[in-house]
Amino acid sequence: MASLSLKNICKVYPNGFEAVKDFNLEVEDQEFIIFVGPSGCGKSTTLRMIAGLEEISSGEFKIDGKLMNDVEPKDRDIAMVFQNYALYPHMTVFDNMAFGLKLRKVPKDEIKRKVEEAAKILDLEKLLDRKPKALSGGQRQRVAMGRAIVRNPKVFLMDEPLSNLDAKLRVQMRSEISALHNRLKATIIYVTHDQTEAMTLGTRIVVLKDGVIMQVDSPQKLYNEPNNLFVAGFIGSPQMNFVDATCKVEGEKVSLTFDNTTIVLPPAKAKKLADAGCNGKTVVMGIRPEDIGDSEIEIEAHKDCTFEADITGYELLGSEVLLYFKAAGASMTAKVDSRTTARMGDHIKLAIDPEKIHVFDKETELTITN
Amino acid sequence: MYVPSFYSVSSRFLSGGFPTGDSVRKRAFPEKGIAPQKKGFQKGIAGKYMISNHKIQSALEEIKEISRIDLALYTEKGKLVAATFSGLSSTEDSLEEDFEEAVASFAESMAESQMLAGCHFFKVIVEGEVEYILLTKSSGEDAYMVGRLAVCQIRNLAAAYMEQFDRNNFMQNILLGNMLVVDMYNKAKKLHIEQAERVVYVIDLGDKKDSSAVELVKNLFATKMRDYVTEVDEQSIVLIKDVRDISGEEELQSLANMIVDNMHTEIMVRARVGYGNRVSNLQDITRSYQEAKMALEVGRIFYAERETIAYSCLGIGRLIYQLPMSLCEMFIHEVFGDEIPDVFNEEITTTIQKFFENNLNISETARQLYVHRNTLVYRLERLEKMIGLDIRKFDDAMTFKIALMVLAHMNYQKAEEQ
Repeated sequence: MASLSLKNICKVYPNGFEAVKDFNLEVEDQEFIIFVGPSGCGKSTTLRMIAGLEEISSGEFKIDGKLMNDVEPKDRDIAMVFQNYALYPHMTVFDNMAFGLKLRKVPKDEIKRKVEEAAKILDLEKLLDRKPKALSGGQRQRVAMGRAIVRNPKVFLMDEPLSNLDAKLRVQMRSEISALHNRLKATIIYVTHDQTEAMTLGTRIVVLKDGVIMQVDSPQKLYNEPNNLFVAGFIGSPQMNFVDATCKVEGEKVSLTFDNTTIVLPPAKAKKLADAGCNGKTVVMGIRPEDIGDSEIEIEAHKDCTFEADITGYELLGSEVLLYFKAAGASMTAKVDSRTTARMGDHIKLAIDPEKIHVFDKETELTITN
Repeated sequence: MYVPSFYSVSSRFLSGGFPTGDSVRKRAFPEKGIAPQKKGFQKGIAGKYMISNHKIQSALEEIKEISRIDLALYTEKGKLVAATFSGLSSTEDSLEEDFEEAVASFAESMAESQMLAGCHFFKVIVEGEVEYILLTKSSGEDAYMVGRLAVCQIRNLAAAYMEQFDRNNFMQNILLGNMLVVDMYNKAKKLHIEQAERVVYVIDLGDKKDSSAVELVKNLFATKMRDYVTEVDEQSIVLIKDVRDISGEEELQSLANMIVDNMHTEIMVRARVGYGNRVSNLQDITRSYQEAKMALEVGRIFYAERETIAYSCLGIGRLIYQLPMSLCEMFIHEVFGDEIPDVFNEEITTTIQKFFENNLNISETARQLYVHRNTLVYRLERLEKMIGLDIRKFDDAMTFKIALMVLAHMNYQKAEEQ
């Protein structure tokens, strides 16, 4: 397998549009890297530059220390799985997986060996004689993966391969891809716009916005320590709640005020805001829905961080409930236990876990409390 | 069981029953190395369409699997096409040459089948022309029967391919506008090509086009008799897609995306796909083709980041593309005066691009550029001094946007001329 190095990679189109700006990333062997971000953020463009399907405007791209900028895609020892794949309708599963190798004039016995190996990994051995129309959606997806695996590449590049699948199949295939990564011990670069997919699959996630890297971190760190407002809002479902609040520093005590509510911050966070000179400034307070509670225990535990609100929406998820309400003009969500007695239209008390509060600079949108 | 050694079987036997011990056999095949003169045998025309070797190989292997008899197929010139056993193209050049000579000699002879050196030789004749020579690697009666069946199979395959070739050829002529309408409909009837709603896709591969790409598209589409894959130049592949069962514009777009993604995955070449509007009549196929080509051309100038472009979505780009150079120059002169300002450094280009993307919203643009609002305003005012247009105002923004597109068009045409 392989390590990748992307240094100062930029992509500028002839019309001046800058799709990727100063992209820097080191990928270790066998890592599962996810590029995630909204539509148009440059993730697919970056993947295509790695594949060689897009010219790199400036910067250096290396695989195992070898410069790849001007190397043809077929000579980069990579394999790709794309969103809009299609299997050859009149060919068997075996022939579908073998087709690319046949085109490259690989000897027959070698083709047979590679296809059978890949079929074993993907649990397709009993389906090799079937045609695509006799396969389920998941089986077809595995054949598409098989077409990449038979090439035995250094790096796998996957561009939203699950986007065309229904939700249930997507969940199933996600776990299969994860298992495949462990079995193949492969270096994988995976592009998705789905943050849930990113969080469940990757060893490290690269969050992109407008062609710029926002943060590169493990899923856990991205979730718990987002660098800025965008990452905080993009990662996590339901989205993090954001409220404009005024910061007040009184000695060692720092509080955030919105509407008629005052939230006192714990010492570690308080110090960061004080040091950042936030006294009297409007900042953005972020809190994830699961860190807002309505139970008596939570209200008692976080006496200094309570507020009241009218419930404008109620969604039962099963073991949890989503409560919707407004605070400081912002729509907010709390994820509480399904045993809650709160219902639509109720005026209730809610508590915020202060340890889980994030505070962002309103102008720069950078996190102050991390 | 009677096992013939040297014999010549007339076409009566090939079309009728198996040879018997009572059949009259003539020795028609000369000694090895001497090629007789053929009488009245017409050679095929140069550049005739051939079935792909892969298909022939598959057919021979299947026959071998059933019959357990090895087979080999040669062209009429003696070149090996496919075989189920090795040793024909061996490192021993003399062995290969012997076979080549024997095959070529047999092809020239009057005999339609022959036994030599323990192998049955058969001619595969399609529409009166010798297309191939088939060998069975055994001299038994079974091998003869299997050989005849294999000849039948390959003849039918070749005939089907020829018909397809004729159909593809026909479509090629339609694309290039080489046929009169009346001839078109007569030929279409003969080739069983019906009137249907079609869309032409042009797959542009630049200088990376090769047989693999063509093979890929054929395997994706041309297995159905309703779609046609052909080539009219060195850079692109043309797909004439029957879209009777495709209702929405999104599906046409999905098809284009699928072609691109498959090219990326299997052949690993950059592909761009342009497609025209739906047409119902055969004579309008050329129009859809021209539209697809224009979509690619216009896309190259104005939508370089897109891989799939529909003619129907070209927008103002199509309008500008068709402007004559003189009009473009006049317009640019009107907007910018004598000198086109050299304002297009990276910073200002990004600023303008982002400003247009955000619908002339200053706050949002500043936020996305990570600059202060005042910084953005300063940049826009600086731009106004340079070009005389305040792009914060809609009219000026529109004029400037069109001017940029006209400039891109002019630069592209100049580069093409060079």
